[in-house]
Amino acid sequence: MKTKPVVFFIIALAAASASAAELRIGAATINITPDKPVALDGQFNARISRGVDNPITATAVAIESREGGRAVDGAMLLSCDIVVIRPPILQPLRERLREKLPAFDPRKLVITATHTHTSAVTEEGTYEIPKEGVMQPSEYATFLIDRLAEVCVRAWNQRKPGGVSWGLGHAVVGLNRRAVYADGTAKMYGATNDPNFRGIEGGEDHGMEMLFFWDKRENLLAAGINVACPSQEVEHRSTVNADFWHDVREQLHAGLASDLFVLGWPGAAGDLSPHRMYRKEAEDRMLKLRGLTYTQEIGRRIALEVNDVYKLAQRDIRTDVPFAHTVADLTLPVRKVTEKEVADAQKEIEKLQKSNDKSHRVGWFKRTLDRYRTQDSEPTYPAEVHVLRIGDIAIATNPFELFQDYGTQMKARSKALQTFVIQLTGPGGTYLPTERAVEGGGYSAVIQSNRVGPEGGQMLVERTVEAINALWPDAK
Amino acid sequence: MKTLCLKRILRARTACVVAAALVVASASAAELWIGAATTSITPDKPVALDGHRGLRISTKVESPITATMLALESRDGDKVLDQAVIVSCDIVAIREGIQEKVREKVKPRLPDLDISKLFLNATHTHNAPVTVEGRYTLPDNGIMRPAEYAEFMTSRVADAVVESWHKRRVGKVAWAQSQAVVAQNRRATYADGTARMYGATNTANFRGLEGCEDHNLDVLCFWNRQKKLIATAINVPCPAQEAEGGLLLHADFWHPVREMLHKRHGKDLLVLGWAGAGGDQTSHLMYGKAADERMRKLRGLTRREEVARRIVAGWEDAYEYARKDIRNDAVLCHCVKEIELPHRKVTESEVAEARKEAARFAGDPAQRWNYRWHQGVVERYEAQHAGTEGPHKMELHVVRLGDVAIATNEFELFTDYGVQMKARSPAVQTFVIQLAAGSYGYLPTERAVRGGHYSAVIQSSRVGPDGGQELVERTVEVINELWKPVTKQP
Repeated sequence: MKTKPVVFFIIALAAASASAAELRIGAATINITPDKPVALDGQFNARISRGVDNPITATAVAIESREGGRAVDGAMLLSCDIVVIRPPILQPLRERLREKLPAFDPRKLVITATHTHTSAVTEEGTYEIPKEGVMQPSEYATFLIDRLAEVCVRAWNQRKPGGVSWGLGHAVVGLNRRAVYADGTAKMYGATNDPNFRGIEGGEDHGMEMLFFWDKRENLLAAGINVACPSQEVEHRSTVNADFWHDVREQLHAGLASDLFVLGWPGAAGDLSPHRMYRKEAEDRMLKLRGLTYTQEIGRRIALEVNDVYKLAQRDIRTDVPFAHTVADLTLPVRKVTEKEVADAQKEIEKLQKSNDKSHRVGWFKRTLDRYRTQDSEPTYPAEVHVLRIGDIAIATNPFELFQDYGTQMKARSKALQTFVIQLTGPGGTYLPTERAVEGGGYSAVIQSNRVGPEGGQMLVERTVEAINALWPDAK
Repeated sequence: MKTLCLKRILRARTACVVAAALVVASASAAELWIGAATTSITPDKPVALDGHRGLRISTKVESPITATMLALESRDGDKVLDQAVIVSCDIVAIREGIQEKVREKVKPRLPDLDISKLFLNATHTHNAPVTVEGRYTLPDNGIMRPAEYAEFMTSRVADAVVESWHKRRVGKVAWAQSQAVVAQNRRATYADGTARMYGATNTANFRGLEGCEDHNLDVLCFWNRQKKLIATAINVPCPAQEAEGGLLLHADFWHPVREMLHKRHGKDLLVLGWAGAGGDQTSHLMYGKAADERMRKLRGLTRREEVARRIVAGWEDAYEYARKDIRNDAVLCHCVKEIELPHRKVTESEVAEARKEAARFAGDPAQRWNYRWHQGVVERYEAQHAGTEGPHKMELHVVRLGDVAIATNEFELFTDYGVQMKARSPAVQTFVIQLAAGSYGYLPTERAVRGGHYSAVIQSSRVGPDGGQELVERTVEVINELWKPVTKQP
């Protein structure tokens, strides 16, 4: 049976008006570093952590808008140093918040993963993990939910009247990681010194959107930093590591405010990463001259811009701004698995099984076969999308590793002054490639990597733009 | 004169690689001699401004336009190992005859300079004078005509080249890279597969920007023996056309870059602006204009000043660390080569359309630019059919300076080609300078040709993707030659 994709919107009543409101803001951070070895998430092969390079954390900013002494809307912006928000996390966390914070609508929890590949697995069944001496995924998930609930409660309970301001800076961090070749194929992290290399598939977005939160005395409380790049520079390590966001925090704490709460927000960057596709020798030389690691260098670039823009944003703090938070449950069409893709997947599975492959590659291919069997009866994929208006800025989330072109479309068509696009927010985490990427192929654009394809990507753009622009009814 | 130069280059072609090996071999004993100068090339009368379809006569000078030259010579004792004179000019392009005129004027005055080692590059400001006759229908009176300006400009440049050459002394060099977000890909793509330069991005059928951007800032710094910073070259993969249009004469964003650097490092610091491969780039924003405007308002900057601020911030960042690794024995090796690139073939449908358009504009003197744009395609088609067109012969310069490669081309070269050169180059840093040693239009990629529109259509591009690939291959080949390991001399 074929079902037409349907889009459901749950729009808070406050969203329709987005009238100026007094803001109450609270912020908190919490350590989510496991105290035992854990399996690390994000690669095909199982890695068991052999130590902790730096703490992984979760940071929450709670916002409540009030009119006439009455709460009218709110948001809990939560950023976590994990790879993806896996299904076992969100619903139990919302349930917990419902119990602990009756005044807060748990649907207004906006939870984002920074995409560090050196944090704990939170879902059972993906990797073969030793039962002894390792904190199991479900155990870590329980620990994580406790900690996330705690940080949200702390942030919510600390909310006080405050202000916000926003600014735009630029930092070269996320680089397009898909090399294209003379035969039209593309490859993620493909060689660029190959004579067949023809260029980089798509663009990059070095605009860095910043949202600052201030207390009543105009002291900087927290900063949301939207960088179109996942945090995966040291992704292959077998140690717990928050990747470049750790360095951002360290440098901001050293230079700006030691108690600053930092929300790391990855922008649309499914085709971007911090890895250099060329010019590595020059980068390495500069690192040596500066005496920095590359995560520190990224931290330096981001912190430089924050320090620069923060001074300007300080001149334009708003305490009474339009605020609205829309939550939409989109149902996007799934990318259909073709018969050829099924046959290819079967071949790959046989090959991997013959070679006694221990990674989760077999599962990766098997899921494609499962999808082929169910795609007619389950033609859609759910995507939770949050759209917020805070003063002149829009924040639009999606649960994907969203290729940058889609983010560009949202920004270009948005009526907001600045549009923060935050990927990997809510349950999900699969790549959402563009048409040109699907044509080029390669990991991140093949069927195994995508639950939703370009058709769904375009629908995501349309619905997001509609939701943003609905919050700016008077804009031209 | 052009023929003489080309013959010399052809002779140099075979000698290039051998000479490079010898220069590299004796590099350890070499001294680098450095000279620099600058000159105003601002006309003192109204001029026609270059770069747009419509005729614009300048009404005022907003900022001086300049030419800045860097003279380099490596010596082993009294023996000259190699030479390079690079002249950066605030003009739209190095039109046919300009570089030749400069060489002609310099050659008798500097017999010890191999004149083929001198080349000019354009920053691509669209608010500088036209330098060749025939592009526009000009008023008879009240302006400095292109030929007169070309004479004036080349004389000024020649004088300053001589000055820079005479000023050269033993000096030091360093290089570094940083980043500056300046360029944005200016080609919007749409749902139907078409592309459009400066196309709207707030429409429902917009799908993304066509290609990538290169936000690297490659920097070279030069010091004299007294450790005074005398010159710097900044390679920004973006043409200087932020404030293009209007009737003011100016150097676009390079003027505030120079001003800001002069303020911090002294007014004697000479700044060479080198436009990197940026045929599909400009500093014009394709989206996010309101946010940019607000930030500039908070900073109190114009858009040109904002671009300059970013370049200078990136430059300072690079300079701080370049200073930690200054070299006084950097090898200099300069290969000048004529390479042949296939012309883009004009198709039947393209010529039919061009004929129609040329006929439409033929009778209107105000539409001379448009007429020539289309008529050029007709003439190319005819030459192709007559078998008289032949390949395009491009003067390629590749300079090795220490661990740095500098590679030129005469196009508005799409970024992908520059990225290929950089990715395949064995140099630690590769500076790609477009619009250098000549001018031959846009050089688009295959995907751009598929998408069409200005900058990728046949009228805009005399060399197409196959020629672009050839340019990459030949450039990479020469760079590789200059980095070949040298067997130690017994």
